[in-house]
Amino acid sequence: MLDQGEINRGASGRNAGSLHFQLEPRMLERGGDPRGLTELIPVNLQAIEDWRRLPGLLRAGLELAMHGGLMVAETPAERDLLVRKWEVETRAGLPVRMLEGAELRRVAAYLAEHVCCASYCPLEGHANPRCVTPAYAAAARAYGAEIRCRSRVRTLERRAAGWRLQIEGKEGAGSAGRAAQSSSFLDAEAVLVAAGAWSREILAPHGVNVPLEPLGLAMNVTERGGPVVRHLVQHVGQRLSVKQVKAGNVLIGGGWPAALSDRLTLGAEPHVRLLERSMIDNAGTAVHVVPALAGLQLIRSWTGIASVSPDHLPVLGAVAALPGVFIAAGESSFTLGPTYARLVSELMCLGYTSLSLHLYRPDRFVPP
Amino acid sequence: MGFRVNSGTFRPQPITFSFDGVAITAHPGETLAAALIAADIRGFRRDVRGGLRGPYCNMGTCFECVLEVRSGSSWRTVRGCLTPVAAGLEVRSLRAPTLGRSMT
Repeated sequence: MLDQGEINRGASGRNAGSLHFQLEPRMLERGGDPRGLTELIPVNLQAIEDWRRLPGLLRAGLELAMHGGLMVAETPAERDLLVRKWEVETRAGLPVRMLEGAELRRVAAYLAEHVCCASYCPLEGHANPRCVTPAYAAAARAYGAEIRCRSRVRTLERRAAGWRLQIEGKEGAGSAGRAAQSSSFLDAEAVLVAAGAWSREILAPHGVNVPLEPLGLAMNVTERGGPVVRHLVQHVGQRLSVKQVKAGNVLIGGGWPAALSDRLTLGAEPHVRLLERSMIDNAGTAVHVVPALAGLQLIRSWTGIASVSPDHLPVLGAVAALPGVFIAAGESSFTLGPTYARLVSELMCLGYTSLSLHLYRPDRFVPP
Repeated sequence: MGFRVNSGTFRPQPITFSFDGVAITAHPGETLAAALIAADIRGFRRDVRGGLRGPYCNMGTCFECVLEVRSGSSWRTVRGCLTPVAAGLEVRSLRAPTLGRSMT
């Protein structure tokens, strides 16, 4: 495994750790074909199973909590959207309930009065991104994987039986001064590009256009408080995710932008800047939905780079133009990452997958 | 051991504030963290395991030095290293996490 930086320095470690299995509101806004939406649910169901098993599989706690998640609505229009979402989810077998009135207050007394209803999935929650990726890396090493950090792929060259990768490594990078560059080669039968927003840059020189765009996002965390929010709380009409970790800190995010200075360049540290407006509005939205949060102070904010695709679905599967090259990148990769990994590894090792990847195929963006 | 550099320096007249009920002498312009360290108080609060915690970065980043300051009938959480001393200020070590410490 090659990483141009260090394990978990990218989006894997720089997100808010939500496990959200309900359909995202932006998927509904695509409107149209509810069948298409139903087809997304099997991956979410598999992700629930994968997360349940992950601590045992990786032999690490991961600070995993699956106490349930609420997506709230305030207006009649938002309520309609939630009901439409709930219908799709229920049809496809995702355990989601609509909560209103006294029942909603009983489940989540902390919600503001103007929250009129919520869809509730009892298996949503969160895990700590700072634990998950290192646990994966340790497990991979235990299975014999070799992980090379500060090593980026310069070129992919077709060989008779696979690919030759030219790797540029930085040896001994650190405070000691200029890192020495080294170049080496690696032969592989199959190559998986799983570089998040950088995946596009890796494949572009080979004539493959995967339209993943980098998106700078910001997240915030409060000081420790007593128990306030038991669930993952999202909003169907506003950018919001709120959850409280065991230590008492409340994480507040939900897709508020950070400023990404320019195009991503392979091998260069990207410049992402926090926006004061995002911090204020994100915290304001959180307090609007969970008023008790007004009593906690923010102690840190951080940024990460997500990768988004034109249809908001991830890119998973074989790259048709480059036999033996696969990709797994894009959308919802914390929540659904373990499942993307499972499915793409099935494809690479067995040649078939236990769930269809048709909706996610890399060449879907190519006009017919 | 904490101490003040006293040669070649000028300080305004001392004031007193209280920390956990004990009177602490300090000079205007000092931070709560500096004044407490000068008074040989290093433990500002206790962590979840009961161990003492005190200033680490002294520049507002690490939140190790958080203290509570009385504000009317409630207590506000502040960073000791960024909060100036003031005459009569009531300061206490951080209580166990409760939501809205600043509102209790």
